[in-house]
Amino acid sequence: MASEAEQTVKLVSSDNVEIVTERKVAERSMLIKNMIEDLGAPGEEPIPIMNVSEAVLRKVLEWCTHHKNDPAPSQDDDADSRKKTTDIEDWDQKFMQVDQEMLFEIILAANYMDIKALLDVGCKTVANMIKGKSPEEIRKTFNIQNDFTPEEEDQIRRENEWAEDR
Amino acid sequence: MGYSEQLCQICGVSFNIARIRRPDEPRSAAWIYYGSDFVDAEGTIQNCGRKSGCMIVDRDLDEDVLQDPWKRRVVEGEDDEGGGDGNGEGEEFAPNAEDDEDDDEPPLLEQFVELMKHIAGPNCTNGNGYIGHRISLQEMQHCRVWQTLIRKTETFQSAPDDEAFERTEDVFLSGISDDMPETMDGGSAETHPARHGVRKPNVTNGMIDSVYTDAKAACMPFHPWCLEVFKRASHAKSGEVDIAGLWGWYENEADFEMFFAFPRAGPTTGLREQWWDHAVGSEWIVCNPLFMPTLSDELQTTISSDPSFDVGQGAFDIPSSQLTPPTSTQETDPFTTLPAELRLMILQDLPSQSIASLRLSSRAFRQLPISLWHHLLLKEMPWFWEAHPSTPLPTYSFWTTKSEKDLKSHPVAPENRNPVPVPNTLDPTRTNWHRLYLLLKERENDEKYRSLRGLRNRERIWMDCQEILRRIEEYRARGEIPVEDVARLVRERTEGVRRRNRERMEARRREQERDQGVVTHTEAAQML
Repeated sequence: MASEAEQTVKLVSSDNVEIVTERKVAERSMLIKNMIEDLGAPGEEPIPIMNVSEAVLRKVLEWCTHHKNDPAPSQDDDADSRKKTTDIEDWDQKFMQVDQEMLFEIILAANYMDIKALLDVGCKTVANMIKGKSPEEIRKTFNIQNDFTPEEEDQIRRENEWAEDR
Repeated sequence: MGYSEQLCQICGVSFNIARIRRPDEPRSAAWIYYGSDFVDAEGTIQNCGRKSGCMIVDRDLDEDVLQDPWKRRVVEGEDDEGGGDGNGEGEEFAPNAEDDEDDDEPPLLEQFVELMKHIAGPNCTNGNGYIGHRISLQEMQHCRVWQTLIRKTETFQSAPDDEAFERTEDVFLSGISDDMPETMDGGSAETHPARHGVRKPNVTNGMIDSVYTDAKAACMPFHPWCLEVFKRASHAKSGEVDIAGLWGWYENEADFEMFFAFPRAGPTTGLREQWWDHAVGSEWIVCNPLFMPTLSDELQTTISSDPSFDVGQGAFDIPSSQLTPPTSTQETDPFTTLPAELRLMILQDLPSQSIASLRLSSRAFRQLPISLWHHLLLKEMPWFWEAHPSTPLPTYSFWTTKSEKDLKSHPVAPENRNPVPVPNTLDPTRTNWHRLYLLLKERENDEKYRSLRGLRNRERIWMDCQEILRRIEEYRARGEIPVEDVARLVRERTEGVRRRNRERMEARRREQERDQGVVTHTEAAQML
């Protein structure tokens, strides 16, 4: 039997494309890791990744490949560690330079596949696209139509007083 | 050398804080910079002016007879009237602003001259003491209390009331004192109790003065409350309470020039004069940052008694029709595709200003959960440890709870000097964090939120601690903490200061010569 490092797993995307990858790469996903443990015999049975299309799955696996040797995420609730790592490393930044649709798909896939570090990078990337922008600039960036009535907008401004500088 | 004040090494505020009482307060509510007596009316009441409402009392005769120095009239004091209605009294005493506007010498004062105490009116502007109308006794409780860190000697033996760090580090705590004597003249800085055999620690902000030739005996003065803030700031940064670092910072910077140049977060540098400037509006910097008389009431307004309350609930009251975007918008707004918990993750990476902007751009953020403000609070106001879900330092030192006077009148045995639990810690599941955030954000508004001034002071001390911690890190990186030879460091620093002084004088002399030279040259030119 092949050692764990050499083992491969078969993943099936939502659009039914089979992708073979290293077990170590795939196990960056806690969803897949748990499934492999449940199935017992990795490599033979294809694992369906139901909510993720081929294009997105390949992209996610690209990230997992680069990060396959990262230390495993700690088990405890990592609210604190999230707070402390505010920067995105260079490779991740480049990796996240994709069109917006893909960016949001990656976030959703990372969430579904339970890859905390990737989810983090995705959310931070979106946050960085928002920081320092006016409401109008944010709408432009994300192609959001303004559907607030003037009254509603006034209401929101009143509700936003907490955020104003003292 | 004349009068000079030792300040809190950590926060830069004087311990020689004075107070001018209101007419309805007891005599003990007033004292001058050395802790007893009172602020003289003479030479001070003129500056407040007739609109201040300030009064005078005769200090030898009847303390309860208040007199309006601007009128030749004697008014009965409140105790005699037995009313206790401060407002009515104020009106009765209020000098008429219209008449004799230009008459700035209070006529009554001239009759008695030296015998008068200053009693603060509502608009008292006297800088010789904080005034009773603007700060309560309870708010400023223990603002005169100081304590020191002292370097251990070989003979040090641990005591039952030692704090954890006193067992492990090279320094220990002195007792406390309510009176900081003027320093350059070497007043007797007595502390109580005489911990580890030290009754008179050699208190100093700077070790270079000739009075303090023995660098090893120099002791660092601070408010006991400031040490508590430091402990928490240090713990938040590194996960431990770095007293060795604090002491190393002190030794490296216990030099008057460096101490006075330390970049302070609050207005303290501007208030540091030979006698502390008790400027109107600066009362908050002497407010107790740990025990605040009205904090509990304020916080109570943010605790929900509703059994169905949940921090996952929305913070805003919004009709449900406004929460669902029209289908056309949904198609283009990518945020509507994200589940709520992912939107929350993005929000948690944003500063409050960006969250506000985002709410104005996408309906997906119209409603936000109350828990988001808990997150913002922890991030933006780390000094408000009452909000921490599990606090690593759940108690305040025993020394923050007493004054020297308390300990002398009601001695506490060493084994009973227990720390006290941090009051008002909040239940994360019952607190309306949105409401609390709004409340704390208003703390800067001095007049409206007086009750939160202690927190404002805590934030100021916290900021100073951040700078201290940053410097500790730097000294450590350079291998300068711990200090190997304090005496040599002090000597080198003293010589450095002397050299700089010489250079400055030399430069000034050259400048003067040059200026004179120019004048001569111009004069010569004119004469031609």
